[in-house]
Amino acid sequence: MNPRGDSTSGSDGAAEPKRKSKKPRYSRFTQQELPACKPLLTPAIVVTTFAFIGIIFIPIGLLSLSASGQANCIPEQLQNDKVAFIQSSTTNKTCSRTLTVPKNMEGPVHIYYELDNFYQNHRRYVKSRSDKQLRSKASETETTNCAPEATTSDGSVIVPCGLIAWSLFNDTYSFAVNSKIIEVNKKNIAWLSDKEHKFGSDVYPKNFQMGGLIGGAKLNASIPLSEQEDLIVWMRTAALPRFRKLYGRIETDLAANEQITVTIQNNYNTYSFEGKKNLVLSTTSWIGGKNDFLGTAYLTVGSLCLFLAMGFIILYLLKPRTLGDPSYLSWNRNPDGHY
Amino acid sequence: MSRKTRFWTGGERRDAGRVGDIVKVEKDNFFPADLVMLASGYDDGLCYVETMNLDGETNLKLKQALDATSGLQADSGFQNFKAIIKCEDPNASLYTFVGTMEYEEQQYPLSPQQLLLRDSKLRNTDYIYGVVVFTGHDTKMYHEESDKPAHARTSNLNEELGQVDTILSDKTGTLTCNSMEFIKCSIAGTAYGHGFTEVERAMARRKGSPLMENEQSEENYEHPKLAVKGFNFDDERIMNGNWVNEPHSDVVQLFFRLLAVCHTAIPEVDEETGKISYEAESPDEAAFVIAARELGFEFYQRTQTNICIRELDPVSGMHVEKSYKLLSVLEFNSTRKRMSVILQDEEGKLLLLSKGADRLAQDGREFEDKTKEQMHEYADAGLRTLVLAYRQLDEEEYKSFNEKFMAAKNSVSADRDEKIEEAADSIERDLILLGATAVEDKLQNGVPECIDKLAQAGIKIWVLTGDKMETAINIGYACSLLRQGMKQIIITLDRPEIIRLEKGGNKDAFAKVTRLVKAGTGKVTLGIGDGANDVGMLQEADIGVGISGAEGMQFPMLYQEGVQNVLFSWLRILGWMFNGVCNGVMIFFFCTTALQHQAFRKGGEVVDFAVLGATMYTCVVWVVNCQMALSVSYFTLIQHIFIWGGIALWYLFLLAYGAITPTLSTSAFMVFVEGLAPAPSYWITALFVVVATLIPFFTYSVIRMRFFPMYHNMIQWLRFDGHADDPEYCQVVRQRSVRPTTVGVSARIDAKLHSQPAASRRESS
Repeated sequence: MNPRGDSTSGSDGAAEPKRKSKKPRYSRFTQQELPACKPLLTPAIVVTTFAFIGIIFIPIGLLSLSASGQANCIPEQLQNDKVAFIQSSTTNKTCSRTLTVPKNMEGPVHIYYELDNFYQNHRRYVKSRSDKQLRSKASETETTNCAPEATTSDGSVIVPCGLIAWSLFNDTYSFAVNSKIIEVNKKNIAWLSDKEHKFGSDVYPKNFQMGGLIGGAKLNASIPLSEQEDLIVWMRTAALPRFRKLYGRIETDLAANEQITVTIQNNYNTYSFEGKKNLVLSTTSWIGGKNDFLGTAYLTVGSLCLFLAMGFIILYLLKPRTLGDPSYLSWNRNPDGHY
Repeated sequence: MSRKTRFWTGGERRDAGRVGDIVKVEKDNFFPADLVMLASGYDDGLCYVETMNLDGETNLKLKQALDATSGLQADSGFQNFKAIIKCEDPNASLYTFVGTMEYEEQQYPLSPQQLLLRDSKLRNTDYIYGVVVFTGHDTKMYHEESDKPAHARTSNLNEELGQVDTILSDKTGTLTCNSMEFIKCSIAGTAYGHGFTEVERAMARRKGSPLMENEQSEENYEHPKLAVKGFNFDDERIMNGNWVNEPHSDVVQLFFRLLAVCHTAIPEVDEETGKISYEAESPDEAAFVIAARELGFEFYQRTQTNICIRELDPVSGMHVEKSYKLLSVLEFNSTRKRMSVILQDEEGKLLLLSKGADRLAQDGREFEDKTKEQMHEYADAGLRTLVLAYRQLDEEEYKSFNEKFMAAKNSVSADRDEKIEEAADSIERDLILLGATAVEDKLQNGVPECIDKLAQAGIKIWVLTGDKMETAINIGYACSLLRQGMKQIIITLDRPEIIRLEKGGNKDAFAKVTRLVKAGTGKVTLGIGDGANDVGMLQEADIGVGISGAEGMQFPMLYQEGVQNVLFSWLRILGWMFNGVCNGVMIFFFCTTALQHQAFRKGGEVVDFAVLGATMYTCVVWVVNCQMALSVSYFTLIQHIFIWGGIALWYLFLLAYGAITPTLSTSAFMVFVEGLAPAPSYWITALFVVVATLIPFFTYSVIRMRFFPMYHNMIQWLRFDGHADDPEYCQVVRQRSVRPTTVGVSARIDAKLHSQPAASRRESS
């Protein structure tokens, strides 16, 4: 540590036996001598950063906007409002609507149903499922979180159990142009990983929707869960109360001004919780469906940054920082000094 | 008492022996227990011990066996040794010991002179015999080996380091190198010696005075002369025998003769070269003897009764050998603050030669005022000063003194010391002043500057020392802690009054003082030391550090941020909390709006719980790490690894978590590989959210950095502008950054400027 001088001028400086030193080995890490870069927000860096962000962001914004513009979207509101009507099993719930295609829509046209005020993200709702049961027949009895839709009243397990499956959406749509039925492809609407890994091919619906209170759709007990794609899509719970889910695809193109007749089986009860149902037809671009937010946001931030860059250039030119000017020192602005 | 003789051969066992065992300790070994010394390799029962492990002092201490037992030699001599030792119980005081030994039906008093403390080391003596009096942990205070690596006791060390309010420092070996150099002297009112002390240099540097240039050239031609360790004196008027031509040559002669004889050092003649070196109790004593030798008064032999020196005879101009009969030695002690010898020269004249602190000579000789003034200057220059004086005695006077003195020495009562003191006082009076010496205890590099900075940063500094009080004060001057005109409140262990700056005591006191300071101020304390004798202090303080040079002029500026608590205030905490909440809200809002409910991929899939969650979390990870990166101004590999590695780790985690079986990963299964990574909207959303969220903080930093810089920002600017090494430039920046202080080099310069007369006097000298 310190160069401790020999205490005396004596001859004892000779050959003090070398003691085992516990002095830590020198390392640049412990001595805080690692090579370092010391970034500093200099005017050049600041202006460059802002300008760079602006220059990158504005094209991204434009690109996103145009991509979003290419995605067409026809939302159709469905508004029948009678809870009693929808709960009755005898009433005819078929209704039809006519839509006009505003622009050419190249196939595939994605068909979505949109629900509003439906909290699929509710804490208890989200948990009310059994992933093990969905995966394999062997785990059929694992229904831990599924109550009250775990077992039927006589105690036999429900497959698939839980509230999510129970509340499966069950409106159906069919489309016709000029009385000619347009085929709706309901295959491959679910994530591949879900079909292959989360829903077993040996798991068949059992005792489903047999209870007193009917939630939503019934399932064909002869089709394994891995092929029940509507269920699989539904079981991917949405994060927000307003969400869309893929219903199917129209593989053909739709020409502008075509009149599409949609026949709707209005089965799903959204009236009891004042929800809304929409039917959405949409094409996609590389960025997905139509949403101008990202595009405009990129444009906004990009221009803001360019503006800031210019602002700072002007600021730096008008008011260069004088080194050592005591008026910049914070304690000079704070009259009572040092403490 | 048992009479076993054990031969102690080395340090392999630390705790050994039972009380009453007789042990033999050989050269350069540690004592295994507290021993009462019986005999040594020297005929007169002397031995030298090094007590560095106990009090950190590296000098050798002289111990002496009782005359009655010192004659016992060889192992066989102890076969029939029978004695009864009565002594006090073990205690923590290193410098006191009271006891008696009954041997051959006679009572002998025991004193610290006979006590060899455990874990001190036998030096320069072939062997000693001793009887164990205390063993194991009952022995007198032993703490740690000096050779202990610094280690952080707690992990929040850095935080505390920033809040240090009071620094407690050990003196010896921490502030100073503990090596003395004879540098100046004042003889008969004339100042000799051209050398500059470190303190003078530091002041000259600060003042930018012409002294600096002189010093440059001085250093160049002075260099070859530094060959003699402990001697840095240069004055052609008295060197090389020129002193015979000085007006007061008789005084000069006596002055150096005194230096050559009034000490307890022992000469060692190197048989090959014939060169003489000295073993002294303290480094300053060695410096004196060396100075005397260099000026032609060579002390070369000491026997029980005589001191022999070679000196220049002014009449014949030849070197003659002179032998003085040593009658009594009145040893140094801290209350008397002086040491004297009484000797008889070859003509039979009795001389009392004395050296000590200022109040020694009262005779009012014509040069007394001048000497005082010069001593003042020496002290101001950071030197330890001693006054030299003498007196001629007549036979009668000496005889009566000797009786009184011997009686006092042989008494066993508790007031023995006082009696000895009284006797010494009676003879050490009416002394005739010769002059004063000034030795420099070399400071560690940069100590005055460092203390100055600490003082400017508003840190209180306490230097704790076991030194003699006046030495401590001198060191205080030397390291700019004290300066002339400051009011001194002094306390030693004997007088527990209000403590300020000075403290006398042993290492246990260090710890006590530390505790006191901590309790008294409630502030964070920092203990500095070399870890030898100040272990207690280091352990007691909130932060204990070994020494290393604190450097960099930015230190004081930065430090005020800590002391003023700028970086820790509730406003600041709220500010950061606000920042966090804002960022969180922004991330949430941007992500949900950007991904909303439309398809987020070409395939038409919509976002679900897992996809939206993973996207948001990606943004959070990026924003947190990037904000850290924006706040860090010193990037080493460590920062890079943790910041960028942290981000990479998030992706690795997503991959790993997504790869395990869906039973465990549930909704996170393949979320990155299948869902996020192939979707461009995920990437552009993340890019947008991260940048947009960081822009406000970035803009804030830019504005604050450029227009409202804090202390550390200003230092960054300095460094960036490349002016950090330009003192002028730094001065401009820091002109108001440091607080006015009452200690430190700056304060000394201020004081100098205000007292112009003193300044001009220095200039002329």
